[in-house]
Amino acid sequence: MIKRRGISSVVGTVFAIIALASTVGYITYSMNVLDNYNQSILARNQQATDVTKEKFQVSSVTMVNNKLNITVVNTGSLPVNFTKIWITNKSATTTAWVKSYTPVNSLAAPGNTLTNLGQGVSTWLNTNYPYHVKLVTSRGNTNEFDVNSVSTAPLNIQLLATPPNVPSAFKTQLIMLVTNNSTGTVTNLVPNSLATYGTPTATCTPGTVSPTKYNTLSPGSTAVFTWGVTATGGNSASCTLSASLQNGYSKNFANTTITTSAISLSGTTYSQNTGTLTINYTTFQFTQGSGWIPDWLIPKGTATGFNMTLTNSDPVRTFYLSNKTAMIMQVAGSASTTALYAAKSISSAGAVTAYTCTGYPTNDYCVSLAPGQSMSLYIGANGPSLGGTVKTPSQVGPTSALLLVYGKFDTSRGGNGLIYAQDIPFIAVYLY
Amino acid sequence: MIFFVKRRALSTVVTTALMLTAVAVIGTGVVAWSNSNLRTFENNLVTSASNNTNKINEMPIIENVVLVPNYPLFGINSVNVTVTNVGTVGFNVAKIQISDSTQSITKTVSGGNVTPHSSKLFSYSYQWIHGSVTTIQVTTARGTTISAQAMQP
Repeated sequence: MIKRRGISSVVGTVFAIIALASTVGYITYSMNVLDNYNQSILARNQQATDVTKEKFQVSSVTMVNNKLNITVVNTGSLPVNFTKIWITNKSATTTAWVKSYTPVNSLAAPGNTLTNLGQGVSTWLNTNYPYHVKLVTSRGNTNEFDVNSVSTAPLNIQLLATPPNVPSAFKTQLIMLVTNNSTGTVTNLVPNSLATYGTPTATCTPGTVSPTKYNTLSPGSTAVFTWGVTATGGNSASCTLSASLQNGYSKNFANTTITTSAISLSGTTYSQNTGTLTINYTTFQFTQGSGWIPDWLIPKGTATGFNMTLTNSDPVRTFYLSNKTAMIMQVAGSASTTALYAAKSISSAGAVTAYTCTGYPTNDYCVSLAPGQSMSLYIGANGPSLGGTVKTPSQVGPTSALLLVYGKFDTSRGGNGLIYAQDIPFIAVYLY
Repeated sequence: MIFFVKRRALSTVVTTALMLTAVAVIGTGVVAWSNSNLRTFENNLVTSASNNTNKINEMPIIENVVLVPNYPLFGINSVNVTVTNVGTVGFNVAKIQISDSTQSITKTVSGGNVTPHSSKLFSYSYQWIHGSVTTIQVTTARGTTISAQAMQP
């Protein structure tokens, strides 16, 4: 028997090789395709990661030469390339005013600050118009903010008075808290002047706001503005103030109420509340017939008139000055005193006009002093409502002058108001 | 006397020839069929892989939406949609759907090709409503869908 390889086996082997080669080729090709697919996924993931790594913040936005001047800080770990600026004029309501620009030199390295973004934009912008701006990066990230406009949606505004209850004529602090509860940065936050809300029974006078402006407010951040407000009024008088933002969302404001309380002053407690009437010591001057002299050196034994500024520091009540108001002078080492009474006026030549007036009560309470107001008080008459002069003591040396102010707090000269008396000490002169 | 002569029978030759022919024909057929199938699978794989790879790589964004008021003139508002390609492969915008709580329109886009790192503006009449959220949905030819919302207070 001769063993021979059959031809059919050769043919079968050929076919087997063909089939195997095809299979191997297909598998190889599939692996290549899968590899490409894998690479694409990796590349796509990398791009997505880059998008999330790209971070930047708008640190300030101003208008320079009627163009946007945006400062951006790259806070991420990748360079940021700004490819588009969209500007929308929000005041255009009947038509769309939307422009897009491709900025130049708009690449910011990680950690660096890109300035003057928007200065290359050709369009002239009105500094009084509100604009909405959107920055677009090459990776598709955007940052939107408003210029000269707070927002298209109301912001969280709170207004607090600390304290809300103050004695009349005292000052309280108003704190305005503005929280950016939107998703975009708002720029140029400027508070409007505080407005009076409703019908106030107290007079509230706001001071200047501090700070006057926030350049930017990122989402979630809070801006704080403060005012000093002087509130004047009677007991339980109040005023309600309203705070809002310039170019803000309609009806987006906050209110707070300040209540005043009057300083208590009764006939039995007035001695505990001295200081309601004060004089300005720097205005103290005298005349002996040759003009007013602001000096504490005064010749002795000479007819003298004195003048000084008296202020009613009571916040709500009018003070009526009695004709018994006088100044007592006493030279050191002397037992005698000299009294000089209030006069209606004393001329620079020393002529005394008596403290008189018509009506009831006779020649008394002639002069009134409104809350917070001042007057020139003349002292030098020889008695209540008399027009004669008084000489200074005849001794020489240091002399104390005690001013005794009598009167009443009332609503009218003839009323039965609250009587009040007060001494104002420590007017020092020296007689020679 | 009987002689036995060993001879190859004709039938064996014929049978072998028939078998070889059959094997060749059937084998060729099977190989051809297998190749055809493989080619089909390969084509499917190529197409699928290419589509999916490109779909993965395409990165469209809706860069800006402008709700255009036009009522003083025609009484009809419109919507401007700017689509930007921030990816590395081009794409075709195939469909844009604009909708809000009361209405919806779908526009089939022709000529919506957006090359890499470029933008294209699409503008359509649409009676958007003040104070209502308008949703814009952009679909590419490969099926990538992106959306954005806009509102005019």
